[in-house]
Amino acid sequence: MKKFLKKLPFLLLILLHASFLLAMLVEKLNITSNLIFIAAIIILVLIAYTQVPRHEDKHLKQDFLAVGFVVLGAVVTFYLNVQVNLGPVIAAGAVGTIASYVPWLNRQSKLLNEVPASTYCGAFVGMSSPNIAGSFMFILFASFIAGLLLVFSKNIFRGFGGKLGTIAFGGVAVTYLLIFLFL
Amino acid sequence: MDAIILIITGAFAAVCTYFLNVKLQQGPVRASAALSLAVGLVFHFFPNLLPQPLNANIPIVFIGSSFVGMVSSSVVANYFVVAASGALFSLIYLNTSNFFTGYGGSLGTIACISLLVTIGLPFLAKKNKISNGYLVLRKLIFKKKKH
Repeated sequence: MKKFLKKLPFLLLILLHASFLLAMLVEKLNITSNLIFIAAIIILVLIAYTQVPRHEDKHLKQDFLAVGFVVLGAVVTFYLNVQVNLGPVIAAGAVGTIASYVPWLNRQSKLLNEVPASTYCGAFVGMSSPNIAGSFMFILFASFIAGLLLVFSKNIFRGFGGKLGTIAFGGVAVTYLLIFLFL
Repeated sequence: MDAIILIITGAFAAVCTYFLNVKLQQGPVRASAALSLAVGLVFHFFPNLLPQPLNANIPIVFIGSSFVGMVSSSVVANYFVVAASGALFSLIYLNTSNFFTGYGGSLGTIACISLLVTIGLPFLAKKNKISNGYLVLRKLIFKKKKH
């Protein structure tokens, strides 16, 4: 059971990648060149999964504070993106730039060193378009799920570009699915 | 033509972010966010700088590709690999499905996939990761040479 729980975040991220690639595949199934392109991507990604290193750090209670920063980053980004009408790129860039200077307040603090990554992860959730994320409640819930995913995937894909984005995608996709199923 | 410009933008953004992140030691978040903010602001204040489809797409490709450059130097230590991933990011972005349009984090997912593809390419694998079979073979050859 414990072994399965350790592997769960890894499987979840693989599932997210797979659903993204499958959506690409299904949409353009009749174009041969596209089919070959995506098939090659899937094979190479599968090879790469075997080379991803794993770490064995324990989860601390402190880590769960990161969820708060994810939610904060998401809400601020969504506000700048939709209400102020700056667009997703400027909103996420501004939030990320400000967050990256937070550790300067106290360099010894471990908590403050976690702030940039988790806030930037939240910023990706806030980049959602208003067609998908209708309200702030959606963003709050999606970023909460993304925050939990971020904490549980602490030991995998460390230092990989796009890890935070995949986690944010997971939060948004799960929330959208839940709303689609139950509301 | 537009596609070529976007692919070059992707490679350029990834390499710039990686340079800021690793060489200038600004950390991944600041490298990606500050560069994207600058590019986003330029295209926000000069909306007629380039023809329309490019104007809308370049900031998005730039921020997405800069996620590729957020990779740490312990995972990828080669500028060529980063540039290839950035270019691949643009290729996947151009062929992406409409199903996930507007989902936050879909750019990050593309970045992660394109990075994993270049890591999965066998001929770009790290040199110190020699397989066991190769080591045995080398031992045999060296022993024969001594005789």
